[in-house]
Amino acid sequence: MRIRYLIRFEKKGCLKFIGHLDLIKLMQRCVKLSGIDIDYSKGFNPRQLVSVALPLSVGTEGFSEYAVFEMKSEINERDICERVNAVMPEGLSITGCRSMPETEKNPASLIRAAEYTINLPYAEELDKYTAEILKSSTLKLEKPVKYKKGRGNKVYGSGLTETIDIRSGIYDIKPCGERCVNMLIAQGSADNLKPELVIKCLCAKMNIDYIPHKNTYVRKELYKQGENGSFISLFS
Amino acid sequence: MIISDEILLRVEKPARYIGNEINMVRKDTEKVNIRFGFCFPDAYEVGMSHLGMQIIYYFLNRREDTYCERFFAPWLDMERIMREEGLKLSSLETGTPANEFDFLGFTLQYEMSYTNLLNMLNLSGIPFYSANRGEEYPIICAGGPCALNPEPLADIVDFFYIGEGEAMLDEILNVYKNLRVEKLKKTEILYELSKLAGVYVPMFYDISYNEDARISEIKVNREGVPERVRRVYVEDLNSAFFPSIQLVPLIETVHDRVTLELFRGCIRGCRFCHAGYIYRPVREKLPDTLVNQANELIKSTGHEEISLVSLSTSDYTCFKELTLSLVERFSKDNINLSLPSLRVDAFSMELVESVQSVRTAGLTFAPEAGSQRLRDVINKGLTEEDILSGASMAFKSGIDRVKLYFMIGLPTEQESDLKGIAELSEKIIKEFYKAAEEGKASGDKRHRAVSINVSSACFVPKAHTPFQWERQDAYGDFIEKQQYVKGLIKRKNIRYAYHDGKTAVIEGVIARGDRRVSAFIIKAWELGARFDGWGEVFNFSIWEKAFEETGIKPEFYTGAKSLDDILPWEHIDAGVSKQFLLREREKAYNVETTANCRSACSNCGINKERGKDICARNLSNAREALK
Repeated sequence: MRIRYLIRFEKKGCLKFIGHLDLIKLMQRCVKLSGIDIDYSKGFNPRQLVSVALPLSVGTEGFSEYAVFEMKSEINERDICERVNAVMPEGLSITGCRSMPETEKNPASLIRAAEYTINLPYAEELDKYTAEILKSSTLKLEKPVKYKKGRGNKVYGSGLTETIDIRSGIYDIKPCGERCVNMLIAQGSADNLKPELVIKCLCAKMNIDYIPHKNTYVRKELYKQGENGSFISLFS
Repeated sequence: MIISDEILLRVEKPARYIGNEINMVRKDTEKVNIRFGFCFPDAYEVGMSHLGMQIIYYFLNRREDTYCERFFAPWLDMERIMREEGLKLSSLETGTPANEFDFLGFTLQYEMSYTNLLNMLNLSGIPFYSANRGEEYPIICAGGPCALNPEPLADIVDFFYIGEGEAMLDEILNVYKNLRVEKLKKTEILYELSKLAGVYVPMFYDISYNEDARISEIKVNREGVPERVRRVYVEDLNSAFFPSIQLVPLIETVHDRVTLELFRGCIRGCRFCHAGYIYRPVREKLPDTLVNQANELIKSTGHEEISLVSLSTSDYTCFKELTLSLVERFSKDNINLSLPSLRVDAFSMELVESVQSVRTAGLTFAPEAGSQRLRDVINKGLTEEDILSGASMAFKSGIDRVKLYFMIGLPTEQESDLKGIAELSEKIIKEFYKAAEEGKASGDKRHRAVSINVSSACFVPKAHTPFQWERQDAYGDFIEKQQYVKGLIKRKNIRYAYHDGKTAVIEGVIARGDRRVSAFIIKAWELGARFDGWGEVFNFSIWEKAFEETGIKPEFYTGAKSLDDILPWEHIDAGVSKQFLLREREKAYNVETTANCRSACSNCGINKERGKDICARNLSNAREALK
């Protein structure tokens, strides 16, 4: 019988600059400092059973991210929040915690969609272009292509590109203010779309340069499949 | 000003510049009298692994009147953006520009970091030469091992701190605080500081040169300033300050563990080793002190590994007792022990069984020289028998990886010594096959493969060692010897790697350089030299151009010195006598070894003038703890 807790947390401020692997290590360290009774993997190299559901790109803030803590013994949900929050650095904090029934799958395999809010300081007429995207059935993009050594495929940085169609990964997109766009896109183990690609397309449509560091990205929520094709928050 | 998000999104590893680590010190800048900037002249990931920084950071911050903040060298991409946008170097803790601090203290760990030091000054808008800095600039100071030959930076740094930080930093800050109240000018403040033990203020020493460019005299130019500056150190490490918390970075750094310092100094007296001479006398911490410190650090950092560090961990008097206590106390909490520099004997094989991290580490030997003759010359007391029996024991307990460290270019080196490197590796492989065979015969079904990693560094003679007069091999010599050894190593499971001889040339010029070398380093910086300790960044052609444009001849600094030369570091007293160094040098040439100083005192001079025998006292304390 596993004792698992689903943890909802935020990662913002300067913490948005640490990568996925560093985040996991940091969480493990905070768990250790808090003293909660976390469980370890078996075998030669025991690791804390702390996992983070879906990586967040460096530079993107996450307001509703998810992790799983597997414990040796049961613990009050409030205790986890208080004790771990007390030792977390500024920018990282647990905002919710609930126990996971034995039958519940790991969040990493359940995630189907993510909601992003992105600031685009040089955007114009966002309502027009977002509506255009939703109306069309395709949205094509040139992507540089990767190499797999030894099997003779294509090369990164060779100038070679391939055309991909990302429309099917965009569930919804609309403006949320003059220079801000909100989108619901496919993310998770089944179908994964990076929000940067959508923004690239949008910039192309608006005929403005795509300058990555000028845009700020926030991932607002992660979703799993609910009833009747709807999406519900991972926390429910 | 703290760096903006937009800029951070344009650089590699932006987390290098955000600070906010667990246990970072936060103070109200309005309420402190002294702003001290600790500057580590290398990348964040390297500096954050440095134990000295952790100690000094918390040592200074324990003072209510002082706020110590950190600076690291911005990476190449960040430097480019800073210059484009006109941004100045600022502290991690509060984003305060370096120029607004009272002190900027650099730690000199490695000669190849000097261009980073210059770069950090330049990015702060601070002139290089101390003569060009008026009252409005911070006092620039520097310490660390390379400060034992401070001369290449003597025209740049206002004062050097020779020795261990815990010894005199409090007094220096107290004196400074009082003098500032009296509104003394910087020169006068430096003059008063020069009277304190361990403080070297270069402006009060004049260097004159002969016609042949050698130093003719080093003379004090103001009364009251000491002729020689003596190194300071903490006498009792058990009562000395040691932080109970350590900074925990948010990203992966070179070492992600609690660093526990067992003792300072080393009893072995290997003749090439700078550290072995400048950290005397040996001072151990008691096992109880260490277990307590480990406890506090684990509690405050959440690390899952403790690393026991010292110059020669196996020589720690209570090594067995300590490791057993630590394993007993911490393994149930899933905390590993990391034990670098382990001597291979029955006890360490026991450890291999019980400590997982020891098991996976593989075995490391540092014979340094390929033949017993040369090992005796350098006084590295490791015999072939030690190595082979140790390897055999290790292979039998299941270790499959061996690392061997050597140096090329040691004094009196001959072809037979180089050949010995390849021969020793061969013998070790034979031990492995023997152990594997025996294992098979007694039922071990595993298919075992061994990997031997041999690496050779380039020997650079250092100040305050018996080899400080020796000739350093030229770049061409290093290449020739490396290729020779490479040609002799034929087996696929022995990998041979060698360090770049070009870096060694620059390191050698600076390590035994004098004041005239500063222009050379500045020129290299002007031409774009940065992060010279990083193989992928180091650009030798920049340094070659710097030689040309400044007229500095490398052979003048790396060549052999006459025994009655006035060396550029003559006025810095590391604590060991010149007579002792000369005796050791003589013994080296006669292929005579010197016993470790626990079994027989070799009169290095560290105890003189103190009226009390520190070495003996430390030894008896350690032995008491054993009982």
